Amino acid sequence: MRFQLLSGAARQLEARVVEALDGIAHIDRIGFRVKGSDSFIRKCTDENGNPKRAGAGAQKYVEPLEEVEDQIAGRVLVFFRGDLEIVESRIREWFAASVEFSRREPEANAAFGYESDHFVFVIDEHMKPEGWDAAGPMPTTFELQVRTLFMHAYAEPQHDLGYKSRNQLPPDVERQFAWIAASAWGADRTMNELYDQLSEADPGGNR
Amino acid sequence: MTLGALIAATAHEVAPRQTEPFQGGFVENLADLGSALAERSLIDALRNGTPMNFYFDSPTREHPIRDAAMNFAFKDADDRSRSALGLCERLASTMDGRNKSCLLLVSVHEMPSPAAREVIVWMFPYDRVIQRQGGRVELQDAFSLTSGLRKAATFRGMDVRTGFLSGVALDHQSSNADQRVANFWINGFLGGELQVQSREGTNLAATAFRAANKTLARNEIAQEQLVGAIAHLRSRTDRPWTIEQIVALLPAGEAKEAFVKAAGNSAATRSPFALDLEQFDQKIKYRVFKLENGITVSAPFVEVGQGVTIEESVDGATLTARGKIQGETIRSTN
Repeated sequence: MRFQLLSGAARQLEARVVEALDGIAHIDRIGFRVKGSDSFIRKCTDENGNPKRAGAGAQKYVEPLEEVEDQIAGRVLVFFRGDLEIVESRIREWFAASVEFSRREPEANAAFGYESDHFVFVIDEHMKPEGWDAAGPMPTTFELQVRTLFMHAYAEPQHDLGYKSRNQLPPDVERQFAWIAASAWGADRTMNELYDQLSEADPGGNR
Repeated sequence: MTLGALIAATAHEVAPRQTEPFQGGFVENLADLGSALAERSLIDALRNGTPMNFYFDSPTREHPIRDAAMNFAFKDADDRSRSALGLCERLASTMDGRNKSCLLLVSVHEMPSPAAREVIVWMFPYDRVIQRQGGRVELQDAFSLTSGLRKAATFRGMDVRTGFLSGVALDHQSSNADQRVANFWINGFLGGELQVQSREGTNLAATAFRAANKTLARNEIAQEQLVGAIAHLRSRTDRPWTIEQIVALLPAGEAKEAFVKAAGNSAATRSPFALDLEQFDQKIKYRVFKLENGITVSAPFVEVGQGVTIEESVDGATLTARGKIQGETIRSTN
């Protein structure tokens, strides 16, 4: 029942994002998913299966069924870096007042790694399927990622291979990941530059 | 959803731009106030309010109304008092000459989950609901509260990072043509915006019109009623609309039923939005052609290329409409 409600809301939210981005070019795909139970448990518990602790030892989640914010998550993939701002601007016109926005990128200038724009939005009332309010603790927010294809090309396999690993990765593996990230970053920039150059040279082109 | 048991409440008199100390404090007789606030019509008005979200300072999620509501919900009497006075200060500074003095009532209620609370901020006209008796402030009866309530907002949740992130606002002036008045409560005092914004509201209206028109393909009278409602809507973009108000433009019958079915019955139908005319026209394919012989051809749902052609030439564009006549109506001008 709970999963059905979450899936219903995810479908509603996906349809809303699709409507919001109608007519905008360079959208590769829009997708939403509901977090699986294994992934949910990994997020809330440590390696011994105990509730995760935050900082000074307090439990990270008092009510995980409400507090875990990516139980519903969406993603918009765009072709070029320059499209990120266009897409995000339109999304802000449709989704009232984001709870959070962050641009995730490596902190050190010389480092390469995960890059993506992350929104946290409230799950608006008209996105909630019937029965939501009576279903016990339910999430109040959802996450939305907006990234380019090259950002995704690094992030998704890396997430699968590295981020989910509870063990520290060997230095050589970390180095290989950094190399992939640097390659994706360079390709992403170059692709965007090419797009800008070609658009300038041929403004009426089919782009 | 009924209102949970009243845990605590404060009441203060607030005047526009007030800088003097606020008169008021905790309400002592919670039983009487609880009964008055639980009045059916008052709760119905509140529950039929419009969902809203706060403007947040990302990523801290700090917000003066949210913070005050959460303190009022979960902290002790001193914190509650400070929160209530903070809300009074914010309200006084948000009000201007168009507003009159009011009673700001803040109440916290139990929720079905023991870890959750509901906080309601109520704004009543001062003279309608307050009596001063020997220096004491007395709330009048439930009828006065119900008939006097002009604005309110309710926030619910637990004392966690994801709690109290949104609310439901009741604003009897939100459809006011003077948007400065309408914006005072939600944008100004509450520091947020409605969950349905202009683009989504416009899209919802246009999509419902299109779907209704498609459903009524063989019913010219009903389709004409849709066109009439569209024409009215297009001529009044100076005011906000709700889907429910658009429904009211349609006479009882198949057109109304088709529109209601297409628009759905979610909270979004009660939310006021500014109609984006360009987006609306684009979505319903609303076209207006003025011809040099004085004839104006205008209609929604027109697909150029499907019975309507436009040929460009050096002398200008020529419109041709072609289709099988299914009926003829002679209109009287009186």
